[in-house]
Amino acid sequence: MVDVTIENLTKEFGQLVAVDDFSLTIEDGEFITLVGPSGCGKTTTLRCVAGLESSTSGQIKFGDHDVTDYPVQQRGIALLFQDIALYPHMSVRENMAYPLKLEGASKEKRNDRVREAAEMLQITDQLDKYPNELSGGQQQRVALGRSIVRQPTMFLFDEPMSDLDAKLKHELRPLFAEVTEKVGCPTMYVTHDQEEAMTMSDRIAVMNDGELEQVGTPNEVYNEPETAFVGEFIGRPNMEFFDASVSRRNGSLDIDIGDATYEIGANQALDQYDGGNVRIGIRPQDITVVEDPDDGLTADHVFDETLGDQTHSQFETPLGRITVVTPPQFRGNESQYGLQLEPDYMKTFDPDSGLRVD
Amino acid sequence: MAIDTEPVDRSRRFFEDGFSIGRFEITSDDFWGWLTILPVLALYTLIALIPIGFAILASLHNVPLLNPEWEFVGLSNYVEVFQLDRFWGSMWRGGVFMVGSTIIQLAVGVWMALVINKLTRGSRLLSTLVFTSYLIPTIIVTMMFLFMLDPYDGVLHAAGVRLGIWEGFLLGNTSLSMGAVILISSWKFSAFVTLFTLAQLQSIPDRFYEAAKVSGATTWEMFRDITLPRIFGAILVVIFLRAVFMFNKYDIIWQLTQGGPGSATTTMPILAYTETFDANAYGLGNAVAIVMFLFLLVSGILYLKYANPSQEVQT
Repeated sequence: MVDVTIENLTKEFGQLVAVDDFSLTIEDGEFITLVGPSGCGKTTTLRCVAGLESSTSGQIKFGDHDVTDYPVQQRGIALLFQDIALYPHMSVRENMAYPLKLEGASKEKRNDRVREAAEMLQITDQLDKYPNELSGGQQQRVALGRSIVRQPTMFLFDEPMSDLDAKLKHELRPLFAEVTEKVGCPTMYVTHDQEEAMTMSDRIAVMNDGELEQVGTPNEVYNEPETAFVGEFIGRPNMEFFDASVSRRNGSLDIDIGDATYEIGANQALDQYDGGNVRIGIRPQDITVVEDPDDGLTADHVFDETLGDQTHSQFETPLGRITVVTPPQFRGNESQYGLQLEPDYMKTFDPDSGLRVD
Repeated sequence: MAIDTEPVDRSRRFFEDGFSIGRFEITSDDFWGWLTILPVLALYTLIALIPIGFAILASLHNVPLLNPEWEFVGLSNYVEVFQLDRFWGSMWRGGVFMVGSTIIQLAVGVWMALVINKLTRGSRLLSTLVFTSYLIPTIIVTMMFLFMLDPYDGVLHAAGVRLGIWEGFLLGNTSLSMGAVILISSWKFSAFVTLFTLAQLQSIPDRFYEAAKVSGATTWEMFRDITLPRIFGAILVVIFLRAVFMFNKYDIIWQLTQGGPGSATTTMPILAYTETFDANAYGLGNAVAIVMFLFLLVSGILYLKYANPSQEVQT
């Protein structure tokens, strides 16, 4: 098995640039998730890698092998679709054996492989049924089975769980992880669900508007977002953003957010913003609520969302509506508080480009 | 029995709780059920049951056309039908016409549907053109072909003769006229098959083909394993419909050849007509028609039993 390299992939539909100069290497056995809002080009990227869509420019390599112009049939990939796409006129067994049948495998080999896959997916008792007799989760298992009866060079998932309910997702997630690990080839998983991305991936590639924003481990993209977009897209509740101004005092820099001032010491990266504006991002987990309204940002409590292990509290401030993660027992009762931002956890972004600057 | 102490609600109408006529209890469902199917039932009786009954009755009588006094003769018309040489001949020719034109329409119709379904641009225009042939009235189609086959200035005639395919008037050629009639009918009716098949083809999701490609399927394998099984049910239905329609086809044959030359294109409906109006035997003509009807009925039931299209049509 081999690495998969995508180099400068661009895909245009007429005037529309769906994927813009996308480069990424997926190492052998690595599980990479392509995550982004709908319309960001992640599915188009996957379809180009699969060969279902021809790229406008760029290269796709399996190992040293340039497969850019190969038809789908010759790429030997496994692909799971959102709409599952089992053949309704074939039984589960026939569906799963179909790639082997096309390969011309013997009947015994087909039966053996199907049984093996069915055992791994716990669907041995479903083999003689037809797809329309199965639930959505079972159908996706069968589709997974169909894709692993042959050893694929690469595993592709196109939002395979988007149509399933939350409980099934939790059931299937570890199964997907287990199966892809057993198969052991490079895996590209496309989803718009950041939670899926965080929980399943070795690395996450965040896409926005056709471009790759950041690639990194789940911890990297969560803790050190390189752009404001990544900061906002990864992590729940969403990162809060503030417009802030930078000023110099006695050789160190101050950041003013509303009427609160935060001293951040000397910071070379921020020097160029002296006297100008930046965007500050901070996670709702890193904002503290204090009783004194004059301490930090003055905020009127609006309501609480109780989650049991924590509370999401909403505050109205002069800078807009802010969500804060508060302790489970916190009840705001619509009174006035002060919000304190932890300077250590503030991420500073350029107000125009959205790039991280601190 | 419980005593109904509820006050009568005068705002309710008589049929909302049902009512009874003598001993017949009529519930609200019954009332509305019968009321809604009654018009259809009446219409069906008027345009189907009465004429069929009339035809069966006539087939049991000797009815000279110019002196329509019905003389009851029992089954002797049927005995006579089965003794007619031209009956068996017309049955054979009817079978040839039915099978031949159904096969050609199926082949051409499915092929056209596959082509239109593949096109990304111009498929609307092309399908409109194809379906036009089905919408042109039969009389226009036959006039068109009669003009084109005219021995003096017909363009098809000129082409056929120059290529050495036939000599003289094509439809006057004993050995070729049946083939010509089959082809002309197919020109008009293939679009029916296209319409049916295209609808079914368009209901196949692209995903099926993408999943098959991922599995390594070639174009032919995708056709064999996805397209064909998905349209098979529709094809079974369309074969049934076309076969029945073609076996009963009267207008296009009569307008082209009147069953000629000789009896080369005399199928069963043509025979029923000529027996009635040329041979002046209304009863005998009806007997032919009834035999035809029974033949279709039996073959239809057998076909539906063994081919069972409804089972194949399910998605």
